[in-house]
Amino acid sequence: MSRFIQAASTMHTLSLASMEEASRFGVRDTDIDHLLLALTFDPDTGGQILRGMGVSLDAARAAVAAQHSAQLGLVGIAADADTSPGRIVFHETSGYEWTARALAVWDAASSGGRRGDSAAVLRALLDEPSGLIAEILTRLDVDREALIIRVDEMQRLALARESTTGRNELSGTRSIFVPAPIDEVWALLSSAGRIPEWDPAMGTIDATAATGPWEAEATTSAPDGRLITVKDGFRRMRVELMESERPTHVRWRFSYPDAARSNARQITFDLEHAAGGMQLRATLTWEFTLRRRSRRVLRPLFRPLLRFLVYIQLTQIASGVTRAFR
Amino acid sequence: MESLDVAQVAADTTDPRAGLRAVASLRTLADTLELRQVEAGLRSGMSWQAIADALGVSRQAVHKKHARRIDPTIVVPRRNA
Repeated sequence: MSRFIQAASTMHTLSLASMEEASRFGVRDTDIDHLLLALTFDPDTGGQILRGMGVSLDAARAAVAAQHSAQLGLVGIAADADTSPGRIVFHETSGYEWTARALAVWDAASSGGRRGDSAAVLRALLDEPSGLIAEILTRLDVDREALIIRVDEMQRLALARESTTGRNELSGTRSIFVPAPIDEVWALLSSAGRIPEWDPAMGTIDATAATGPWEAEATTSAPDGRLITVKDGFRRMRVELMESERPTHVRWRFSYPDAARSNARQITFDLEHAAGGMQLRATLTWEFTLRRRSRRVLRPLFRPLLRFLVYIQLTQIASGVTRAFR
Repeated sequence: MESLDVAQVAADTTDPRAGLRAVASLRTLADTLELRQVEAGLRSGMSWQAIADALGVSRQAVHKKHARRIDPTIVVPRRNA
């Protein structure tokens, strides 16, 4: 993966997670403390190092809240329950921006020979000059110097990253870290009735039958209340459970019985234990019908766009899964 | 806010680094409360101008800061409606 692609993908993943954390505090200016929280459940090197030092999302959230209320206490203001963090409302709201000092951290993470991956973001965060991150780390009982040494070591090793392009160009894979026990994540991902919790395309599902195929309805309104136009043939969805191996592997297939020429999609989840939670690999594959010769010729031209769409869809699904546990 | 002891706070400049960080937290809290009050104002039918007057800033300033940030389900009154 090129340095640019890697930096862009890290930035997208961490930005989304940071802004989700910011939304819990009711703020729109996403700051360095939200970035630190996002790093605690980053699937890549930066997150692995933090979790290896014993920093969990819950502990980090408590430390950030305690630091802010201690700082407010210094100027004589008692933080009351009314301003304490709530649930994530990022997907229902808008207008999120980075603060100037958070942008400076991003800048430092991808300049001067740094790779722009999550370990580089963590390293830049440890150098931020206000002292806020250092104070939060003290509350977490983490030795900042030891953390710096570990990140620098990891960056020298610059572990080879797994390639994400397979032989099927129209499928994409994404690894995420979920801060919850594997059994709870399995319960969410293996149950037909709970698919609307993580799949933004599905509105409701009739999961009264114990075995599939099940029938579902497409989403017709966005989380922020706007209406989504869904073409007639794409309202009804058929859901099939293709493979299931408790608690490590599950594969779902979604098709549109009312739209004969539509493409079905498959989502595979692979689950495994990890320090402080579990690691999840989500794979999205679009099945293409081979009937339309003209489009088959055109397909290579659309491939970059389709790959981007697959990436966006995977991001939304991954975000839905982690949101259920945060 | 009974806990506010202005004299003690104003006198405490022994650790300016911590004090300055505290001001940063305070600014964030003020922004959070401001957004919440602006949303409440719009929901109750106040115009951007009325909100700006109450905040003591220009209508353009309050609109620029909050127009994109407010809850998208709020129906915002048009200026010339």
